[in-house]
Amino acid sequence: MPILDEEQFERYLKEFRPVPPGSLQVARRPSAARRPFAFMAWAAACAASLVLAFLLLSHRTKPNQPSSASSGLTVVPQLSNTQSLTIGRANALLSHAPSFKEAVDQLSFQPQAAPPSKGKQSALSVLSKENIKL
Amino acid sequence: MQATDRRVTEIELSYRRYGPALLLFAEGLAGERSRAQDVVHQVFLKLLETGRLHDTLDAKAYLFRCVRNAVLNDRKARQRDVVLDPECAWFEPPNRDYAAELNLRRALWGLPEDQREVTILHVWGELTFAQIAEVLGISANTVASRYRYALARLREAMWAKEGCRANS
Repeated sequence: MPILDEEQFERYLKEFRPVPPGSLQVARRPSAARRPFAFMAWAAACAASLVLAFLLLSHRTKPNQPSSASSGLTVVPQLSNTQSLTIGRANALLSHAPSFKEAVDQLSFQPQAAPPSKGKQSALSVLSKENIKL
Repeated sequence: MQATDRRVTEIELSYRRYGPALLLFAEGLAGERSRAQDVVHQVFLKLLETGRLHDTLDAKAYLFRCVRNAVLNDRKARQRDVVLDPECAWFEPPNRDYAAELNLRRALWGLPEDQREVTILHVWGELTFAQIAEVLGISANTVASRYRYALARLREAMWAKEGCRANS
């Protein structure tokens, strides 16, 4: 082993490579704080959309069933001007209307508000009668 | 990628990069492969728990310091003299020269511990004298002189063996 100087000897020593250690068993811990919640959120969203789809489909198929009226005409409950639009009423309309489109029409084209009762005037009529001098 | 995953990946990379030199350093202090490997694993598992490697400025020097402390603690707990295990190779020798490997291992083991530490840290750990000074808690000048003495003794020991082999 003709080794002359420090540098060469160092280089010679470096030719011996240290043996690597055995593999380190690293079990990656799932981020417990986040993943279950993310999964639950996805599951909840899927369930909600399924329920919604089921409800819509059931509403659409109901009008095809024979109605209680023997004449074949369906009785569609209309929203009176005094009634406010609630989910319950909307459901009733949807279930009794012959088609979804008709139900939506019923919801959209409600009768106009009734004229004010006797002795009462609308603000618009009072203003139109007034003579405004500029 | 989450911060935890990034930290784990960083520690895994450090294990792959510095693992062999750390194991050699632990072997140089403990003498036995199994104890040295246990110590290195303990250090890395603890790092995975605490994730402290991320915060250190000089991760490499920090790892060597951790391994050194762990070996010294282990040795104190066992309270028995360290002996060299002749069966376990520390190195993969060039040209499969296993006689040279054993020769080097014995020569290294024959060095005083403080010189052996410095030699392993500088040659195979590739730490600078300043980094070694930080790991051992001594001055860089002391590191340099220990290294020079160690190298001279090592060369002498290895040559003597080589000479014996050549003559026989």
